[in-house]
Amino acid sequence: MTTLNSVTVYKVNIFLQPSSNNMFQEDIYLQSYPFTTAAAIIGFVDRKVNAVLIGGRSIIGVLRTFDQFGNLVIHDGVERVYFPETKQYGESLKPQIYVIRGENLRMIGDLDIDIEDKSLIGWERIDFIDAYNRFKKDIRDEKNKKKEDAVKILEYGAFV
Amino acid sequence: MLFFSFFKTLVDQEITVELKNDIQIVGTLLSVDQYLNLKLDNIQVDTEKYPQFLALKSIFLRGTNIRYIHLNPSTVDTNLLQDASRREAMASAGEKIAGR
Amino acid sequence: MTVAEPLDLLKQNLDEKIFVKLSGYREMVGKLHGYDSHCNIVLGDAVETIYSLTEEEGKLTSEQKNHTLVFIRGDSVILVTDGENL
Repeated sequence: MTTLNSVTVYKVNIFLQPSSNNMFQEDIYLQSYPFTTAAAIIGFVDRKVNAVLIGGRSIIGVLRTFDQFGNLVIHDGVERVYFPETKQYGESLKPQIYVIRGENLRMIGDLDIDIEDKSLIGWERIDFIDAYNRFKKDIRDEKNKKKEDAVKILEYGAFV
Repeated sequence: MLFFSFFKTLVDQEITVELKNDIQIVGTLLSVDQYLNLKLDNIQVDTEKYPQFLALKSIFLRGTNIRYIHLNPSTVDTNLLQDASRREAMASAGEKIAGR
Repeated sequence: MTVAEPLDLLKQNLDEKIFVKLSGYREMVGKLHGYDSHCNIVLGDAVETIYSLTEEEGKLTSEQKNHTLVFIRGDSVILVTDGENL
């Protein structure tokens, strides 16, 4: 019950305190463990987050739970891929539950829902299936180029 | 544990993190954990190139993706860091002998 | 002082100039301020050299960057050596 109380206390706090204030949920919730993975991520729970995976895909949804390895559970998540060169992006249509293995996580951040909609102005949304295939092809091409380059660089001198 | 403690002293300072995929992130260090995962606030990234960062406020970065962390020399006592490195090396050597 | 184990080399070179070779065709020369057993390294007044191939001809080029104080994560370190005689 004490845990429940501290969560309630926090929920009151977020409405009272501006986000620029240096008070975070972890300060109240995990005061005795200020430097753990759990303390760092707990502030994102029940918020809309963007989890960027290794490879560059983004999962956008509500973070429900996590553990010390950075494994995440995201509810109502959609997958998004960006093509900065052409200012296009693709987004999956059906929101799903995502369980993400921490190993594959590059970064997670909480979205400012006030700016979020405006942030994609100027970006063209394209069909997700096409976008996804193009994204995978880009990754494959880049990998192949890297392999070829590695051989060439090795020919220039002893570089691992 | 040396660099864990080291980064703890840099909390609230502005740092620049360069990731293994060449993204450069400038931000205020909020917290660090034993794996050197970082939490950054007020981040600045070239969002033209990396739109994933659009509308993000604070981020949790997994330590394994980090290549470099650029630090402000005025926030670091390099002599202290050198001494700490020596002491840590001695401590770990001691452990090995004790463990034999 | 002898080098009994690999990391002793780093200990000996504290406050000295070292050369670090990194993954991604990178090299760094700078003054060693700190290290740990994972080969995480802190260098001061470091010069980084990044090798790459030119877009058109595929020729090897290099680019240099200066860093006043930089922490290098140990998992990208390939080798470390004394940097005085470069």
